[in-house]
Amino acid sequence: MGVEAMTGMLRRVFSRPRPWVMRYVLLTLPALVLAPLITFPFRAWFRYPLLVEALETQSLDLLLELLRLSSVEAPAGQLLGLAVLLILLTWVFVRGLWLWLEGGVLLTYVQAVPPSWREFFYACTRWLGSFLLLSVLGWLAIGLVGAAFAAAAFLGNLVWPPLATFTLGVGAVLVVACWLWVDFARVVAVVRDDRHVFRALTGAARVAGRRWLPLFGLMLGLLAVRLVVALASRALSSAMPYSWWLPTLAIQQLMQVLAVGVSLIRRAGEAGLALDALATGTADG
Amino acid sequence: MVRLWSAIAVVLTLALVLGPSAAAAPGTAKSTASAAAQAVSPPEIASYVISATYEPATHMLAANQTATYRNTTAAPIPDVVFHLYLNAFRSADTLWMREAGPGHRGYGYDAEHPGWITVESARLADGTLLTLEPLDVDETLVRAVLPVPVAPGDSVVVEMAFTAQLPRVFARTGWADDGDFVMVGQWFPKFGVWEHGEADSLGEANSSGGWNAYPFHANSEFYADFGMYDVTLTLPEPWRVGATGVAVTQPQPNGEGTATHHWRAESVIDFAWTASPHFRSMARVVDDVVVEVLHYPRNRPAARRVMAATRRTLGHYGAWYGPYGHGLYPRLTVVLVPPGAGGAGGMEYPTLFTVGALTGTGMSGCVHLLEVETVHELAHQWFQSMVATNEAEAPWLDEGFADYSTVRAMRALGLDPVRCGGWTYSYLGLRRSEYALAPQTPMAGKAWEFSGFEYGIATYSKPVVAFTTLERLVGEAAMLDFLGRYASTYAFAHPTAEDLRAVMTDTLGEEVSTWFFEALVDGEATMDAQIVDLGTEQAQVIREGALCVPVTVAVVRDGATSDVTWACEMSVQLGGPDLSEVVVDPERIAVVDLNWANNGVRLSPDDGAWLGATARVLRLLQMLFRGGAVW
Repeated sequence: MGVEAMTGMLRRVFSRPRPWVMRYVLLTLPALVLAPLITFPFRAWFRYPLLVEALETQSLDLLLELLRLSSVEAPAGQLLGLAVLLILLTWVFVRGLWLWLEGGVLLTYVQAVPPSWREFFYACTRWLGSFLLLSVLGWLAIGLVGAAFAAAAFLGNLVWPPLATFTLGVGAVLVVACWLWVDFARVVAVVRDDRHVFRALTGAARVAGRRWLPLFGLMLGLLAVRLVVALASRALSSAMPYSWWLPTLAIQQLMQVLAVGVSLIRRAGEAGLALDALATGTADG
Repeated sequence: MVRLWSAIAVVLTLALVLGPSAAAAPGTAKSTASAAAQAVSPPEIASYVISATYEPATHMLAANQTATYRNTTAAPIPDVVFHLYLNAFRSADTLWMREAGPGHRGYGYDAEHPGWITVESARLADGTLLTLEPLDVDETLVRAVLPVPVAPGDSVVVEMAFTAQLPRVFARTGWADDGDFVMVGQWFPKFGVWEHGEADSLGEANSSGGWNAYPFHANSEFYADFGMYDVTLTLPEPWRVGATGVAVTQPQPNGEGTATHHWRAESVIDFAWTASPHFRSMARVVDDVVVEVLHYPRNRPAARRVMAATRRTLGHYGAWYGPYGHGLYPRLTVVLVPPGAGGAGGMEYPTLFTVGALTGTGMSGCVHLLEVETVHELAHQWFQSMVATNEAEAPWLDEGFADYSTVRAMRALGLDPVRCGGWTYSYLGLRRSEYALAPQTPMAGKAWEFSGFEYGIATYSKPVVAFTTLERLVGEAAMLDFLGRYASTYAFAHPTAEDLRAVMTDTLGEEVSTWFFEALVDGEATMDAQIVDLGTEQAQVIREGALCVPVTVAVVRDGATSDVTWACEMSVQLGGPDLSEVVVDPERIAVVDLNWANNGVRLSPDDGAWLGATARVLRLLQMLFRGGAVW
């Protein structure tokens, strides 16, 4: 039930590549500008073979040796502070754009006919308010649940440390569940074309209740794929000498493209499930 | 110096030639140690029969002891000297407290719960009363003149009644957890060490012999003779006890809510015990030794880590230094101190050690300080409990070997103090960083002659750095031969630095031992090899400091690498053409080198590596910007 609708929707991820390209470009362009800005002040350090060895062997011992070296001029603190500020500002900008794009991305998969550029950007703006509100609610829920379980874990640790571990584990699952609920509520809102936040949340809960098996399967399956991609990316990165920068860059970017694709496949799959539920009337309860 | 380095070169060449036999080295060390174990006959000099009752409500011990001291020297002993260590904790203005802060490893002294010991009576076996004369204002050391000196080969038996008030624990000994946990060390009147032909360490020259005993100093630990301990402890009935040696019988209930525990230890230099109604036991048999970890129920996960580290390391130490206790100790007790009792952790006693000082029990995951602490304290079972050096006069001898063993053990276990997200911080790296702060500090010196900071460098960091340099210079096989020979030759004895030097001379050669002792043990020499000038046509490498370790210099000319030997010259010029990179000591033999970063430099930055780093930063930024959309 719902699986065919979900898989059918997945095809749209590949046949309608606009969200994929936009999201990848959104992630990559600012990073491409920032990365050399951050590393350039350290370029002189690459005269010391020890630095390359420290990075390749991931040795804090060797890295600390460099920091003790008086002849190596650390980039001025102001410069590093500026870099941190720049990263933070860029993060806010990218996350804002990411959220703004969400309406258009979801519409691309929900709508039977691919939206025009105008429809795409209209959807982006139309849904931004609701999605922002959902984000705020989501962070509030995550904060409350997280704080409650952290406090419980702290108390548990005083009684019996394994209890703290168990409490933290349950807390982590609930935090992830909150985040997924809010994320799914955005999909349900677009599918139902209803910007009311609380109806989106309750609708998402109902769809998740009725279609829990395919939804759970989708999540777990994509989580597994994502883990494989992440592990492969990490293994390849650490196996590559730093001087092999071009193959490293190529492999890493391929992995980034895949990671963005996996997140879009999840969104499309969720949209398919929500559409199917709406078609059979279950989303309205 | 030239001869020195010729000798080292010979040793290095031999190590290379004998390379394939290196795998047999542990066996060699083991067989040497095993042979010694067969022959070992520990002296029984200072023996005690103690009967003590502990009152948890007042944290007080009431005890009687019969202490026997056998004169194994050729000189008659005119008096007896006892340590009363607990008196160091009787107020905040004792010598120990003034030197310490008052505190210990970050744990503070509680003036409302001090510690002290009083001897109510002391008499000889025939009933003759002895008068105890304090030898320091704090009364951590007392002496009684004997009516008749103890002749060579004879013994003196002193019967004493004493009361000991345990402090709230902050420095090794005392109580915690509202009195439900007690760790009891240095708690009874304990003989000094009578040494033939030594000047009396109390400052009274004596040509025939003297007591080696000092007032209790903050940095100083202990020094005692081997002997037998027969101890009965009466405690509340539900309390579980761990102690030096083995339990002779099951606890005997006394019918009034108390039970008496009977423990016995032979061929040991001390007796410590711990007790709590909350203790749980985790026990395994490792190579015929019963290893027991005592822990609070909530600390079971940490206890498992302690047990695993102990079990795995016992075999390594056995292979390097000879079997645990040379087969004489059937049991090893490890006490994982409960939260709030960290001051009792990280301490060694014969057949018993405590952990939990560094991290409590909470830190796990990628931090392995509990394992560091465990393997360090376990190493003391060899270096101090068996090879019983004087911790007051030469603290580097036991702490240095224990800490160098820690580096070796962590390497053998494949563990690092920190290993997070693929990044590691090794124990050797940690000690190197400390060493670099005061590398000129000599290792030799009495414990109280160092400031607290210098004490750490002299007894822990510098020996680690020095011994690891020695290991890399002479090779693993030669180093194991040296270590095994020293440990087996001086098992159940009191070697001095000179004895160690003799073994080093015997196994590694006189040039090596002269260099090691003159430059590192007694000397202030340091070394920082560095490249000060690099051009396409020539480069200059220099040494700062008087310490010399022969190293190679890798020179890259026109893309091809060649090695140049650099002995002890203070400066060397390297010619071109087309020099692009120079690296001094690429194998990092000289662990004493103050900074490895300035050992290698390229003419121009490695732009390929810089771009590789940039690519990785790019990925990190992309991950950051992707935020919650992890999948």
